[in-house]
Amino acid sequence: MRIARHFAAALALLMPAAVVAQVSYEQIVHSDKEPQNWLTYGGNYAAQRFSGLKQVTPQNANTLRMAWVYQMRGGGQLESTPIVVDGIMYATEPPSNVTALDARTGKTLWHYNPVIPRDLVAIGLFPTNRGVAVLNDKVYLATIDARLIALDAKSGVVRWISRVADNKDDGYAITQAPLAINGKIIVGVGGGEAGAHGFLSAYDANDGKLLWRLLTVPQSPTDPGADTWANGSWSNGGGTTWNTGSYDPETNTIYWGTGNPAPDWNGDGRMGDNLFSCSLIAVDADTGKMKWYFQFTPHETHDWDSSEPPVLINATIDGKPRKLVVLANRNAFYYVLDRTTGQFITGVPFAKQTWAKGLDAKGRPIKYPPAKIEPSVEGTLVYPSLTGAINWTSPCYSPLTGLFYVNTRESGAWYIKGEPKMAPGNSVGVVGGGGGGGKFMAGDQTYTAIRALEATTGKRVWQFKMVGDSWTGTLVTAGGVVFSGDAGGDFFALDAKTGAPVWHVQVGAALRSNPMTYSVDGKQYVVDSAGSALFAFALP
Amino acid sequence: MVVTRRIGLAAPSIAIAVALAIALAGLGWNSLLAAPQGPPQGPPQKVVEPESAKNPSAEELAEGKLLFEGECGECHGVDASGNVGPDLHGVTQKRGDDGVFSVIRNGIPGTGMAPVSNLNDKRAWEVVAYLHTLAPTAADEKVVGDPVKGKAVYDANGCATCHTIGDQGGGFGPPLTRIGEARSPKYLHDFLLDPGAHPPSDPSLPERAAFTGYLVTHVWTKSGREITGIRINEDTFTLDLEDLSGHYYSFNKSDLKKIETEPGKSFMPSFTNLSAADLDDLVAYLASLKGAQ
Repeated sequence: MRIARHFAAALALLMPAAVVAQVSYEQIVHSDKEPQNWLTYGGNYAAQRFSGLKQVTPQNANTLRMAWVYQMRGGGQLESTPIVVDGIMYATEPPSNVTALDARTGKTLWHYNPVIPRDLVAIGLFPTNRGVAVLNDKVYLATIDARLIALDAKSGVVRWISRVADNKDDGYAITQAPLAINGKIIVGVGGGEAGAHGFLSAYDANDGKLLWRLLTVPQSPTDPGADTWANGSWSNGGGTTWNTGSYDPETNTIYWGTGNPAPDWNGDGRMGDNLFSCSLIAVDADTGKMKWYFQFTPHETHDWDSSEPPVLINATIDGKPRKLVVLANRNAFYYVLDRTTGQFITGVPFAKQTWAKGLDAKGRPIKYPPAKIEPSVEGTLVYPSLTGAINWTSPCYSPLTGLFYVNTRESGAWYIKGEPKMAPGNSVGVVGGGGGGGKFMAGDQTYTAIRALEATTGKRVWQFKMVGDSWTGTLVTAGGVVFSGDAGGDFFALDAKTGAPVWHVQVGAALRSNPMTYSVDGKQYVVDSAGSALFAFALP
Repeated sequence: MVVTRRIGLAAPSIAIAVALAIALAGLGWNSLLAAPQGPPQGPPQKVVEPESAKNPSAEELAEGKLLFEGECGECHGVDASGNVGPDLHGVTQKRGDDGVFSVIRNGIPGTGMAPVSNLNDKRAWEVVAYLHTLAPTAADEKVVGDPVKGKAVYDANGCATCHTIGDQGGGFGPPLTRIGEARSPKYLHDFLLDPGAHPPSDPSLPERAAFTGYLVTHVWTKSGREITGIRINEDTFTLDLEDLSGHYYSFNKSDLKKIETEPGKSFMPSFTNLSAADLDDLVAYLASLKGAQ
């Protein structure tokens, strides 16, 4: 098998289009054994974005130089984390296009551009795409108009297309990378501001048949959680599943975050906890049944989706080995949970927050009085801002340092309450019916920072402050380097132990993706996107 | 390093800033969709205002308000009073209904105003109809001075040292050629009395649009120099300043001992020394500047 793959890699240099990328489920489970590849959106099933590559170190990072640049073909904002399999890169471009590249040269092998309807509905989200999944001989793409498409990894030709949800009338849209597990493709949906009801789906990887669907917000009075929405207000929707989750192969459990309840900034009509919005759900991958849930922000009214990547780590707490899921939440708290039971272990703020006195013993927030924190007609200043202390970008975790690295957003916003109008079952009729909105603080009053937290406690070890509103995730390597980027166009490397900057380069536009790394022919490449281009750097 | 070559400054006063921080699902707002296939589309089609937009029902107006709050409120303020984007009261009077529709459809190239892909034509017209109801505030738009006398005040006070109108004047401050289109008389009045309190945004990079423009900044280098100027650009690692004599400075922050900024201050003098009549005349002159003649 390894010989075959090496042969394939060698072939890729000569005649890339002739190579069939084969990525078995077992390979993804043991992705740490092949650090030259980047096989899932989050780098591995645990969504750690940790790479075993060691070539680039804090000592030599200052000699990194451009290896190649890929200029995307269309317009829009590039936010893709590419997948790399044996020297072939699969990257996505807005709105839902896939490009296969020679990962050594940046040269195009094939393109796939699905036809996206002109009357696309994209409410409260940006029509981009964050990446694909790969499994066996196929590449899986979720489209902005809420379809799931399987492509032949070799040629980019379509193998099957399944409609996940309706875009035109119901406002569902997908920007996330799907998650490929054993024989199944897991995908969520976005569109909470359009009144979409969240759910998570599994499709047969071979033929695209729907295997199961789990509702994250009730769709009838008898659905689980319906009693936590006063007066049947579950009908407004929310709880979408718009960011890629993680997976524990040992227990066959999927972990996925859910978004805000609807309408967002006016919760008057939906009193109650509004399950299962703003939660982490643990799902049996075979049956689609919920094993447990943990709601971070009950009755949320500030657009603090809990869609941040749940990162799975194994660590020792109080002398005992624990299987954990850790998550830096948009609500500004960092959470450590037992991933077998969902039990709350600890939670601390990792950014300024002014909405909760703290968390109780079960991890439920102790909110300040409504007058201090609820959106109002004139605007209520609350930290963090509408875009949260973290947003869609991914954190990373290094088992070598035990640190969790998160791009942290330090800002407040004035939250404004509007009309809570939502029309059940006719979301497009109330485009923009988010129940309010907000005003941001000026840039000079805010900043972003890469923060290193002790993963088991959330205690801050170091931070690296950035000018401007960075929308870039983090990557950490076995070489001891953290990569990220800022809004001013600087892609940079930090010493993973100390946070000291060891390299930066100006790429001319705000960095906009989660960085990733891979190697071809023994050379390590580090990749991130800015503007409409994908940049790859390597040592000389 | 001193760079003496002058570079034209962008005009913060007329640039429509972009809010890079977008709420909702955290992604961004109303961006241009890439054409999925084929070449870019041809020139915009002629806009025909539907009857419903000219005489909207109460329901359509309410819908337009809701749409505006959700789709436009982030940049323009939920009440359209402006945020990082401009105040839109009176915008349909300035641009016409079809002009506003066209901006919604096509955006304004070179500014933060991107085409709004989320609204179909019917809904875009509902937003236009709603904006049509937002008359400029009478007090804001009231011009009491004499623009001809105001020009004399402008000339007598040396405003042209730092500002251009058309092709005349200096480039340290923002150009004023279209300032009457971009700012209300009330804003101009208040700004002249306390420039530091009403700083324009910095449009040098879209990502920095919500930052303070013309920020008074002092730096001390490790080699012992002290320089004061306005911030032209800044990122995590570097800082560009322009001093009063027009020299540009490029710094690596790692070479600086200290950086201090003075938000609320401006190099522009406060014109509290002007008589009330002169101030009104100057405002009237500035309010009359609406583009190249």
